[in-house]
Amino acid sequence: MSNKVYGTDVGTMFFQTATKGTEDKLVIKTTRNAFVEVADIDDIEDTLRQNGWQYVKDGDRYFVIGEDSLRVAKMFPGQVELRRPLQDGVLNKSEDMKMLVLAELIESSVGKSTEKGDVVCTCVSSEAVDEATTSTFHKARLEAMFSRLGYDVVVIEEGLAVIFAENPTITEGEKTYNFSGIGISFGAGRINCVLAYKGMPIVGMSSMNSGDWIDETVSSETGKPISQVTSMKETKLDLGKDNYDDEVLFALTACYKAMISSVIKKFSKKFVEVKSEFDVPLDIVIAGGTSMPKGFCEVFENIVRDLELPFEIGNIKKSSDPRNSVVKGCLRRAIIANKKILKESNTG
Amino acid sequence: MFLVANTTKKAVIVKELNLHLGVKQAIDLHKVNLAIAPEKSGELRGYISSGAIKVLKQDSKKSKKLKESKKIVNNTIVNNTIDQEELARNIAAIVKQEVSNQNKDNREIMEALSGLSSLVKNQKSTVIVQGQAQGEVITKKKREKLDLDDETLVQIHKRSVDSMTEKAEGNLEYEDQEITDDTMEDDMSLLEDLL
Repeated sequence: MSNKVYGTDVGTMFFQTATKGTEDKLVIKTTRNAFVEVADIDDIEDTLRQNGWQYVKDGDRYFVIGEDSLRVAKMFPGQVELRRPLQDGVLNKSEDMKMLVLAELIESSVGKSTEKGDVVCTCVSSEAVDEATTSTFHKARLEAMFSRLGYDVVVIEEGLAVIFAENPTITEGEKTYNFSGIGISFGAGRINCVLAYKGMPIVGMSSMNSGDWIDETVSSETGKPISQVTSMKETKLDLGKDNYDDEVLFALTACYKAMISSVIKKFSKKFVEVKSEFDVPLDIVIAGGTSMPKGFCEVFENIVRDLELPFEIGNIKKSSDPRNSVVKGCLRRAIIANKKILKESNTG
Repeated sequence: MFLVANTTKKAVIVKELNLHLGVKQAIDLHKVNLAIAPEKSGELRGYISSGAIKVLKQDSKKSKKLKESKKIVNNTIVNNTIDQEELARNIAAIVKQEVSNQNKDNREIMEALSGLSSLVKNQKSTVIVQGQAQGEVITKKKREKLDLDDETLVQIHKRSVDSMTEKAEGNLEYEDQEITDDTMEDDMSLLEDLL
């Protein structure tokens, strides 16, 4: 394939791109979607270069980007503020530099399109059920950031990307239908759920109570700094254990359970609202960074099977690569869009 | 506007458009992302002629002309020949045109609403909310027409990002992570058949 074809996931916590490598390999680039502004002191550019920090320069302002921004924030506590282009799954409305930072992240990762048929597929959150805003503006801005580089852009719902990557199935009698079932992406800013049938989204919704909400809630309940809560969540949390002896781990476990129960109830409500009807059990596939702690899938299954739902549940499966699942799904969709464009141009 | 409703007691799937219409669901096909323009879909025409899908309202020629004049304004934006003040003036001109067409549009909306109300009972995902005061419906329609032109929104954002990043430069590099996806080939051929 000579065209440039990318899947991208512009997430609240990480920015990822995926492209096809050789044979069955994929090449994934991941960077933390965060930055800090550093003071304009003498020889600042030399200092940044000497430290090997990744930065963006805009006139006389300097921004350290990605993982390096965390290092700088830790080195100068209280002096520099860690900032994020996205918040709660959409562009951060209180961040003035978001577009500049995102545009640079995007251009440096996918570059400019070089020929017809270059495609990017990216994803956005489905309609939020717990707030009155829409992601129309967010979607248009993301699309603009890729199309200004010359790409054909496909935008899909994040939950659908999980479906494309994990291929759940529905069995009706003797027939099995691929890419059918419920895909859930537990991100930092939002949880995205989509019910798809034969690759077509039927019901989609997103909920705000996800990874960041857990960190903030536990921090507020225990009085521990968010950075400490996040670190324990990422390194020590095992949801299969009781965690009675540590107040942070205990609070994290409680929040995880509340989050799972809440999102499935919200999805069920949405399912009923759109009058969708499925008589067969629906498989659920789980992905996203917030689903990474040990024991997540077992706790999810225990909670969900205890709930009274308007649909039957079949198998529950966690992605074998939860952090990369969304971007992999976007890449698959981009490859299909590329083939279609080439086919259309060949047939005239 | 191309407002249609599913009149049947089961979901209707228009494959050409990648559209799923739930039981008794009404939807404006000009306000959703479809695989192709709805007017070009033979499959949709088939459903309409069979009565499975009913057209509740479709743009009149006058409305189409109005849209064409909007397209001219949009092209002006694409060509990068106007500044923000000019853009604001163009938007104001569209609003003025819309207001002058209010009476006719209003009649059309009310006709569509009455058709819709006979079909859709307790339908929560319907585009237009029934029972609004007349003036409120008109305001909603005006706002929708201005807000939901996705292509214009994208063009405006392109210009704003281009201008923001004009002087920006960076040294961003990424570490590549190579992973194996051994289901990709099989899954892709299945997915390709579906999409």
